[in-house]
Amino acid sequence: MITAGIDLGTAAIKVVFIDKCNLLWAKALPTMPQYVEISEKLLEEGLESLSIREKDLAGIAATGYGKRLFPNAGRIVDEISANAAGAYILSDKTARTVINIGGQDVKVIKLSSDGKVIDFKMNDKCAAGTGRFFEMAEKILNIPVREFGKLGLLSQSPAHINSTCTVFAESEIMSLLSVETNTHDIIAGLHKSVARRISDLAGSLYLEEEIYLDGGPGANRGLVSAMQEELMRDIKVFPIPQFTVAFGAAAILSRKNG
Amino acid sequence: MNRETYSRKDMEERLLRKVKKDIQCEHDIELMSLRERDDFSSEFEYFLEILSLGIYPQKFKERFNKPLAGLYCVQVPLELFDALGFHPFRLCSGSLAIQRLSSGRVPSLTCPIIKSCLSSFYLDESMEKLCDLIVIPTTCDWNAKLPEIIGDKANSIHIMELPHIKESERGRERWIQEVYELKKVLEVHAGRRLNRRQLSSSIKKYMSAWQVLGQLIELRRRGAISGTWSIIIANAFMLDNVESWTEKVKQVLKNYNVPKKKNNPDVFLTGSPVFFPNLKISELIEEAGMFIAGDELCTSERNLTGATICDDYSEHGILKTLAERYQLSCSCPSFADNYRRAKNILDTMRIHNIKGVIYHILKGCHPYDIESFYFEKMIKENGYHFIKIETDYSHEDRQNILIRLEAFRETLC
Repeated sequence: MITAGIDLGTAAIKVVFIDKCNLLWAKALPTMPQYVEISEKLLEEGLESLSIREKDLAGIAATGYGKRLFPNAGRIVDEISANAAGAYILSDKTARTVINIGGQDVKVIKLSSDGKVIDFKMNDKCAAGTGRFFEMAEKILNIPVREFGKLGLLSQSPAHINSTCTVFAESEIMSLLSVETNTHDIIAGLHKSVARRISDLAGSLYLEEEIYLDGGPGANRGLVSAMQEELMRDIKVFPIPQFTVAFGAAAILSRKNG
Repeated sequence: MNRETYSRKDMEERLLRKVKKDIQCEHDIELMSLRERDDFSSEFEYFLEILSLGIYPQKFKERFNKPLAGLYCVQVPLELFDALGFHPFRLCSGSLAIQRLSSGRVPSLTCPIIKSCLSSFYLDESMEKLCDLIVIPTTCDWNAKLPEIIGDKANSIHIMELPHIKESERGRERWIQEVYELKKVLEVHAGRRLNRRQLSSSIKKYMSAWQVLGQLIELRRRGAISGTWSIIIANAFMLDNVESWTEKVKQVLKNYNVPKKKNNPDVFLTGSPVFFPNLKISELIEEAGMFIAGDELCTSERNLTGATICDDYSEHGILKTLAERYQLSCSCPSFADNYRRAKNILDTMRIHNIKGVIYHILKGCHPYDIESFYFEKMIKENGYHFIKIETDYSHEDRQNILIRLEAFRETLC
């Protein structure tokens, strides 16, 4: 029984196909105004790759900011429930805290031992500490964001970036560049700044061990290292952190059908 | 020189015209969206009509045809105004569109209610400007500084110094003195002395209003009227004539019963005030599939603080009882000793089996924000779910809030 999960996020659209809890296929494309067309294109590509037809699917679950835009979704799942379900299954039921860094929001989710959402925190309309924050830095530093992890870890003396506001952080980076600060140190400073922001967001939420990081920036090793230091805990990362939410949506639908 | 002066004036007039048009549009959109709801009933038209008067100050004045007394906050005894022939009403605004007129005049992180209220003084015509008297209790820092910010734009302002510790003899005595001072000011404006019989009669009118508000709350607890409509009705009380409002609520109680959707879990809404046309938080809670079974908003269930029951029917006895009711029964977080607020919420949650609290904070509304941390801990320790939503009157965070509320709903199911 194959189900599809689509995460229509603000930075990328992610599509997965799963058979019960086994991931069969996953692919992401950057978000553009043509939400539906991109989603359909990814779905078609997945169907073709798995040599199945849409009518063979047990259903399609949609989640993410654009979840209501996708007309063929059999089930709409909120992002936090989808994220929790995905992380719980992919961690073999061990995850108790999930930190998700999305395109324009950050979520910290606490899970019970049976995978239910106990509590969560999510940033409001400020984009600090999100994928947008890294995109801004990518443009100013003229370094691809995928290089950030490696370069940040080379720093011996991370720069101080204090601002929790993306716009002000941008001017802080400009100031650091104007005094010829090493880009490694700036990147490491950015990682520290994001880690601190997430730590502040978690606030009163006591972080249970078995902490997992997901979302696109989860692949950034420098960020993971900064977060481990800031939160003073081990942080695990899924092999494909970008797809946890789409996976969770598909799993919820699969469980319902099941 | 002449050209520059003319140009500036012209620009100001253009801005004013634009803002007025935006305010009208904002009101119309909210009214239309309310009328399009599945649970709309003709009984609600009256309350919408009253709220619509907010942007037609002359019509408002003509309708009530009495000297207008604009009040900030719930601590000002309404009965005194009624007994001395004033039409008391709350100066509270939920308009985003009007806020442009206060930009550059107050800090950017000013409480949105204050921004909107202050902006009204920069319109060529507003209810604020038509007031014969404005009374401001020093509840929060914003209100304490408001008279200074308004400056000479109001006809007459009276400040009531609110003692921030309720449970002290000194605090109570101080507030009684403030109520006496208010009485004197009102007598001067009215040109006559307070009549004990008229005061008793006014107290009865407000008692009746309080009783019907209690019945409306019961209707809501039973799931027969939504949170948004309850807030609308309570909001209208803040502008309306007390007797007319009471009669119209009685009609709602008699005729209205639209049961809530079965799968929508009950939640309790607390925090910063919600006032028309800014119903963003209540509408989003309902859109996320929850039922607001109760609230603790000073613009809704806390609008009327209780019954005035006197042991001593002398003028002093009545004024003392009135003062104590408005001070002791009020659970505004601007009071330092405010354990009653937590107790009231927990009691309601327990009695009505409500599982979650939604704590609404308007950015810049500091007393509620400060208390939110203690409340989060206390509510969670008591086994309930809690979510804090910090926002303002703008619309761009609706989707972000909706995501959080939808997930919060899942934690309640």
